[in-house]
Amino acid sequence: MVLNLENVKKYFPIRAGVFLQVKGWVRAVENVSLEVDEDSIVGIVGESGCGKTTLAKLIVKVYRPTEGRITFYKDGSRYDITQDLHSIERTFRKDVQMIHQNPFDSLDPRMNIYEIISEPLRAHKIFDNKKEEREYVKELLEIVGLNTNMLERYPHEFSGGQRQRIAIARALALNPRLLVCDEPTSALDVSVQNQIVNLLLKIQKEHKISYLFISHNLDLIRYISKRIYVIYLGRVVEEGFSRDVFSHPLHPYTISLMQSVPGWDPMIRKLGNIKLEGEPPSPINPPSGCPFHPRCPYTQERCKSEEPELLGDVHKVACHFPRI
Amino acid sequence: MSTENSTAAINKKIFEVSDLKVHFTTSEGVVKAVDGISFHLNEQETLAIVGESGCGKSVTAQTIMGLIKSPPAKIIGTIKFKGENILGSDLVREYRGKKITMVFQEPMASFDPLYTIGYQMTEVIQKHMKMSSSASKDLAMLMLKKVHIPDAERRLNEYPHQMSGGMLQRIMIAISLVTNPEILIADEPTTALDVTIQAQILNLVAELKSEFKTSTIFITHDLGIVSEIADRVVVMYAGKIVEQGTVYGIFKSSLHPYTQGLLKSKIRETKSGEELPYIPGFVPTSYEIPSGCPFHPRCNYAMEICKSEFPKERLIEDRLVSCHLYSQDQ
Repeated sequence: MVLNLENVKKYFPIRAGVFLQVKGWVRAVENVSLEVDEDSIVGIVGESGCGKTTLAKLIVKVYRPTEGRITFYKDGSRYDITQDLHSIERTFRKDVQMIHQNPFDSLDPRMNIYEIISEPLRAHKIFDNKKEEREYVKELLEIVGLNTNMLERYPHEFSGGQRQRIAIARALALNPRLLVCDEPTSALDVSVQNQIVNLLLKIQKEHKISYLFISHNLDLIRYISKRIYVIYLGRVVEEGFSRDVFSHPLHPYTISLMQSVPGWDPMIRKLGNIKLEGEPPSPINPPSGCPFHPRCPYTQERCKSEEPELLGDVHKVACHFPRI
Repeated sequence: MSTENSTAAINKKIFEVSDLKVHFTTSEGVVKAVDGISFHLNEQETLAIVGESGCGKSVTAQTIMGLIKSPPAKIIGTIKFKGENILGSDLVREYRGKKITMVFQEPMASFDPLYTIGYQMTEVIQKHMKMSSSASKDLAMLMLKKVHIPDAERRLNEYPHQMSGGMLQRIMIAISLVTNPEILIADEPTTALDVTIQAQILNLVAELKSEFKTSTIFITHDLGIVSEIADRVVVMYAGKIVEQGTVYGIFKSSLHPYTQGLLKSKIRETKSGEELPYIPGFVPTSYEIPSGCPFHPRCNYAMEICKSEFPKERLIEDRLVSCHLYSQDQ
């Protein structure tokens, strides 16, 4: 195990008025439990505003949870990192790295490629010798498939796909155990996305890094991850092995999400059959009971008042009337 | 979703672009955003223009709408609407927003945040249809109902920030159809939206299209969407059209290596553990478009001639394709 979240919540206060009093809360993450094992790929899928990026930021310790517990495992010991990292800070920062969605924002335009990739190395004082450091950075560039003579170039000279490769090289520099990938390909051109996914998978196999892979792209999540979590309005509504969830989705939301993905066959046009009405509710004013009930085609009285728990053995679902 | 439409499509050209070039002179050289493209739109059909960033698909749309100023841009070619050339003529002012309308990619950026939805809708109606303010308000309300916005009366008095992206895009579609246009150009209208909302919007466009009998140009990078809505497809790469034909033809047996690559890169059919199919290399920036066929550095079939000469367009069955692979055997 690398990391474990138990009933984690994250609420952001909404402040207004003269004294900036708290007027309400944005319930971005509501009760998420999740495990990341060594050498595994965990997929998180959901629509915009469902809290998946907040979840990523909780995991890399940018945010502190409002409630719940986060545990980090290292060399057989466990560390409670819910609030602060304390003594484990340096190890944790080395072990957990992140790749962001937009490679046009995540690289400092004033640093050249060498500076960008070697910055984590210098922060953690890995090499005393400049020459060794440079050799290592070159090695990293080779791993991500970039030419080693590009070290002195600046980010603006690269295309989106190449920039994402640079971001991957930087994330790999400290030999992490967990890489949090927040929509790493959605800002890239279609013809380039698959290259980056292949690269990430190759690196995963060779270096045995665990990935927490966040995406709204169901096809990609199915292909890449072993275990997936479907998030709706800050809650896990369905969880299980990727093959189970995709072959037998149980939650009506998962089902409509899958049906909404356009097909690739003009002979079988399927979007016309979709009956999902409405839009995701706001996390400021979540609906009572099951968060999906206002949009759910199978809503019954119970769904309006009682929030379903995430139940099940290996394949879990939070629904009073799962589609079995 | 528009299958019944496509079979009924009347093959009558309503709109024709011939040898259109849009070049911009910048301090770093000439950017050939659109470089000699020709295509047409038939009455009542949906034509999809597919391509990646920088391929010139949005510039094409903006040129059609007369939104690109010349000079500084250099625009050559003809754009014929019902037989009349509207490129560079004053006619475009008359047609734009009335007979030819457009829906943009970012619904949040398409509205003025300082005015109510009602104001922005009636402004268009009064400008193009010469209606009284109360009649135009009624029409605006009717249109909001047509795009399934609940509580239309209240919504008319609200501001753009009070709506979600999906709702704004519905309103944008309502505005673009209120003048009963003959051509609707939709530039990536669902890219900024979630999949479930995207499905709703695509259904809405199809539904209204059959009601209003509008011919549609749909610009997208997503082949999934193309397969769902298009009758015919134009594939663009680096300012050129590399292949065009019916949606069935292209999805069944694409001819150009770029189209083939795009179609193959579908993740859904790859098993976990297998490598995803991909197109090598990267999309060229507009400043350094490769010579000859711009796709040659990424093409598995590249030959010597591809480096120097852009292939002529050839008609193969239902398809127009620009590739040297098909030059010899004709």
